[in-house]
Amino acid sequence: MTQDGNELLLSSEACVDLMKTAFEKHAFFRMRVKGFSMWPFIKNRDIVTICAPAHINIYTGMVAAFSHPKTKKLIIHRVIGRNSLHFYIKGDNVTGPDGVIPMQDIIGIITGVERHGKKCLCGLGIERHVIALLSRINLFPSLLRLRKLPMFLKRRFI
Amino acid sequence: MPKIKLESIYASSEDVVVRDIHGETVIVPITSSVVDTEGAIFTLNETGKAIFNKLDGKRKLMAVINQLTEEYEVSFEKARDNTVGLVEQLLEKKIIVEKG
Repeated sequence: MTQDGNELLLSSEACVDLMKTAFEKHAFFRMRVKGFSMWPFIKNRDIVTICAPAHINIYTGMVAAFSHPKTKKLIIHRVIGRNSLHFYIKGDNVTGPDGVIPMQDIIGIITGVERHGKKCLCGLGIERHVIALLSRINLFPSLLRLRKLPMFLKRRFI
Repeated sequence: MPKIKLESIYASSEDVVVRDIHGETVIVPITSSVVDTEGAIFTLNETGKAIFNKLDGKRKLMAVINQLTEEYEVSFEKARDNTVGLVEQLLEKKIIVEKG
């Protein structure tokens, strides 16, 4: 929010730039996210805190911020697998993976999620390993479709 | 409001991140080791940008005002009032610091 009370819309490139500068100054980065690709663990307009990747080892289940190699868009999705050079990353609520992301394209790691002014504890703790596994079988997009089923049935039959 | 001295030197604080985004100068303070884009963000218009860019920690405020007067062909009083006004706000928000 600017000093005039306006919301400042930052592009992917601007966010990446600010984030990298924050890390150079040994600071964390806090920003509001858009989209539904990480539902239900990170929702639209949640606020995430991101730290520099160099500070921690990156394991399966962690949520990473990276610049997509093709689109250069800033994406925040979950690591569902890795080898020594690359990460396999996918949104929890997306059916297809983001692909093989080189280590150097990982800009940051999400260390906290806030929603409506409160910390969300689900999705970043020890349960992240199970979430990564379930994400591989596309459980969460299916759950979202099921969630919409009552509404669909109501419209169809009532 | 802090007292502004024309003989003082001012510079950007180390506890801010300054970036040019979409043609605007965007300043994000670092608070408790967090660059928080959801906290207070400051933006500067063209005039503010011109003044802020001259606060380099090397020249006195009087020299900054004189340079602005020459570059933008405005009266000394107008340049002084704009500069002092902005420096007051930036000092209060701890975006700049007095170097000497």
